[in-house]
Amino acid sequence: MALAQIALALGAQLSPWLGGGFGMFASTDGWGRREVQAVAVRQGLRRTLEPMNDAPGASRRAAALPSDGHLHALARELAVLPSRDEAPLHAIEIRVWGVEFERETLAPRRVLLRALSVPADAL
Amino acid sequence: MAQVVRGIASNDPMALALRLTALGLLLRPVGGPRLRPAFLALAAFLLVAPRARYARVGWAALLVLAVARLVADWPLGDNHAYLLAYWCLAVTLAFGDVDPRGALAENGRLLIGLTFAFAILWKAVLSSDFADGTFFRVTILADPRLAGLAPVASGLSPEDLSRWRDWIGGHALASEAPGPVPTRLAAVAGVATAWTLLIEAAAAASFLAPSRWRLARARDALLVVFCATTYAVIPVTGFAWLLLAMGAAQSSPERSAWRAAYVAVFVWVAFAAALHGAVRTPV
Repeated sequence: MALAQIALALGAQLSPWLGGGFGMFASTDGWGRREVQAVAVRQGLRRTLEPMNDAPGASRRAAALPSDGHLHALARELAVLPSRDEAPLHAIEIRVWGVEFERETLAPRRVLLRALSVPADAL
Repeated sequence: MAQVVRGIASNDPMALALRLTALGLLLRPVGGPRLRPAFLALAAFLLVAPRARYARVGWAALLVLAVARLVADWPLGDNHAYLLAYWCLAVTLAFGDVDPRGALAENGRLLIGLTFAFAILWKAVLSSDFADGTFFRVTILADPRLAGLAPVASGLSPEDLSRWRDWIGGHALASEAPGPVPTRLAAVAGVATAWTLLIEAAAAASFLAPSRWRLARARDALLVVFCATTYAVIPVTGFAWLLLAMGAAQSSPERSAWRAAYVAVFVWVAFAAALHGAVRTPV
């Protein structure tokens, strides 16, 4: 399990704090510092969603391990939310961001960990 | 607690380890709303019923719960959840061995050694921001669990601490840092980094070394010192209590003083966590 956690952390952006590899308190890259953004794309319209409010469970999983499966699951939850937009949904775009800190000033710098556009016909 | 004291005096490391495990689960309940009642009921039963505590089925049931928790929470389960599952597996397997106490001692030793080995691998090699001190600089200022420590470790006023937290959280309106990293914070972070690397590497080497090596004699002392110091600062009680239960399991039956030390640190960790709760301030 611990070796699998290392492989997932190095190859699939799993937060080092999670997954049973004993990486807690080893990195500032805790999943709670990660940010999940989502946009619903419709004909001539892009509407920003609030995944952490509207789909907190799926958002936390996507932040912790932004795999295809977790991002698709989040997109599916977001796609069925009520919307005031009438145009048909084309896609859900999801971005997962992490944060790195500069050592001397502790300036935070956002780092894009994963971006995925899930077409409506794949939802 | 009377049971735990009897466990120290009984020269039976396994008895103490099993009691500490069940007691830890009672004091720091784990699992979500569905699994938590089952964890609590089973831990209470294992604590008060000696026959159940020495039966494989009770620990196998706890193992099932621990694995169910991992599956339900994937990938959000933290290290405690995995270590609990490994430990329940070790106990379950030990009861199938011709020498349950010996088997549990050996598996407890290996689990502690591997836990520290992977922890040091992450901190010293895989992490990009631990060994250079950045992790502790950020964590001391921004982690709510260290809110009571932050003013002392940084020397900052509450207002300056608040500015730093806004800056680290990316909420600051200003585009420049509140100032240079405070000298005291840099020094404390440096010492914390070096101490953590040193004691975790020593613990990994000691617990994984063959028992005939001189290094192995330091096992109990290293684990007791690690838990007494680390969990006084970072109140992660569930993980600490699991390590202490495993430490008790692998202790020599003739050396009851170390089992007394494991129990004392078990109580100390609970006390420190309560103190943290009392001094924690909103951040």
